[in-house]
Amino acid sequence: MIGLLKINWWKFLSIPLLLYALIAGMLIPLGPGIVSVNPSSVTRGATISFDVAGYNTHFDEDDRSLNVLLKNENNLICASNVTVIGSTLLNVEFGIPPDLRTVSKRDFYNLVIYNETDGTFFLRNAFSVQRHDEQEGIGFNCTTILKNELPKGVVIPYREILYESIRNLFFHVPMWFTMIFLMFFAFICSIIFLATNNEDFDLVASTAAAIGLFFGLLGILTGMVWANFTWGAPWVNDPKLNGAAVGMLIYLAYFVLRGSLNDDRTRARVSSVYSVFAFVIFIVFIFIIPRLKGVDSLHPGSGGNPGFNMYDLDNTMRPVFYSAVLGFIILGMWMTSLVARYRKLFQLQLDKT
Amino acid sequence: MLSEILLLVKKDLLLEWRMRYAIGGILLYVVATVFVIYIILSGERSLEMVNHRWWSILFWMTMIFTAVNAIAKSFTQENRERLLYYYTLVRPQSVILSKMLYNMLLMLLLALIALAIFSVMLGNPVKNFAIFLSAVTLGGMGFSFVLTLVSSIASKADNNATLMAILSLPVLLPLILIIQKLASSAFFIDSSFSNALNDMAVLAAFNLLLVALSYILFPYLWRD
Repeated sequence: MIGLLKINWWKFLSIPLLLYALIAGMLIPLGPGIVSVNPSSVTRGATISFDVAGYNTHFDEDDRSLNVLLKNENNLICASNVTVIGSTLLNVEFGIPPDLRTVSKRDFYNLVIYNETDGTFFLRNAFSVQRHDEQEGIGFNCTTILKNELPKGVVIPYREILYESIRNLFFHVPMWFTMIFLMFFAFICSIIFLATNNEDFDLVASTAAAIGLFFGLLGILTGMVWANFTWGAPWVNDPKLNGAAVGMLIYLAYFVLRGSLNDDRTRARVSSVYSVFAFVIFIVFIFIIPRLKGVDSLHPGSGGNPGFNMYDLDNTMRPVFYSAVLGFIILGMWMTSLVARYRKLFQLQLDKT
Repeated sequence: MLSEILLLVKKDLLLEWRMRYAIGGILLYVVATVFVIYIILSGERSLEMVNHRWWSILFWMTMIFTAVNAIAKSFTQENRERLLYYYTLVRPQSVILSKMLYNMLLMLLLALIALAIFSVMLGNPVKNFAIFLSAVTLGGMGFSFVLTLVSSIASKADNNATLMAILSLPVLLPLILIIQKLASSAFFIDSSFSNALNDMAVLAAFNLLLVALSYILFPYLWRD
């Protein structure tokens, strides 16, 4: 096994992969988006002029194609006047017709902006129209063709709530993948050890578990920073977080068990049995229980939240994400092989003296 | 193999009968724990505030810690030489299966006693007994299966009591989550047995997985 770890040309793959993920993940700009609208409500029949603050937009570059709309299921209202103040600041004027069709006392509109450089982008429920009478009104449609175009150049999608923290996807998620991968590797090595009684496999298994634990810790830290920004608290009750905590507890217990056994052969065998037993239950915990009926998660892909595959992971992010995953897994294996070989050398030296 | 298992279970029962104080100690442990809960709650004048949620938390906590204490001694009450003697006589699979069977019986007994004492001292908010009893039965089986293998692991190390708790609790958590989901439906009068069948099937499947894992892994521990 230790001999196998000496074949390690693959470790160099992690360097370009991680460099690419780091540089692309950190330097590709976020796509255009709308941060806020002020003021954000108006009474029917009035004319309103408001400021629109954009993010990474290029309002000043292309005046003629600039098109600002308010849109909901019933109505489409065009701006009567648009003044460009800066590349990220607009002043827009809307005349709201007095007989506009309204469904409730307070109807929400999406603010849609189009220009040639930035494509089409919008802010959901940016603006509301209030009515003080009971008249429902008629539908209103200004004559314009709503284009749906992507921004020019390579950008990471702008998402409300996430904003720039969307880049954490390239670091937080690969940490977990690496942890699961290393723990699976430790599980396989433990099985091989039980089958062959070759103690090198136990050495590699315990090293992989330790490095996996390290990546798990990094995964929790990056996750806490992200959760604090998007969900408002570093730790929330969520099946995926519980799964992570259980995984950490299992492998911490594994190291306590190893520490409390003195005889080398007993330690290797007993801890391998525990590692196999606990890993199977861990897999049940993280892959099966979250899929049971009535278990909700804030993470994408469950509990009504869209998965990353639906639209979050677009074609810009996909290669960066995959190379980060692969890069971190290879880095984890590299670290495992280094530590395992160091420990083997240490053992050999101990045997000599 | 079946005869070996039955023989070993009989041996365990006989051993337990001869050391009656051990099982008496565990029973007293349950009673004392419930009494401590009762004293704390009545001292705070909050006994009437124990709704079904708190009741269920306290009940399962008592169950977990009773189980850990009761099963921890599975492999330590007999000395090494005697275990070596069994090793020459029977297959390791029979040893683990008989221990699991015996601990399951012990666990079910303890669960029923805990349920009885809870009902007497803290009242009983359970509305659907069929669901709750099946949760207690399947859950108790799961607890005893996990803890039997973990106790054989912990018996190899020195600081047995601490190790038993830290090794078993993370492994018990998935079980606890499913049990809690199943048992929580037993507190409502309108929940039907057939709706809970899905969770019961998951729990039963999990128990089977535990038996299979112990069956495969125990022979490696036994060889010492």
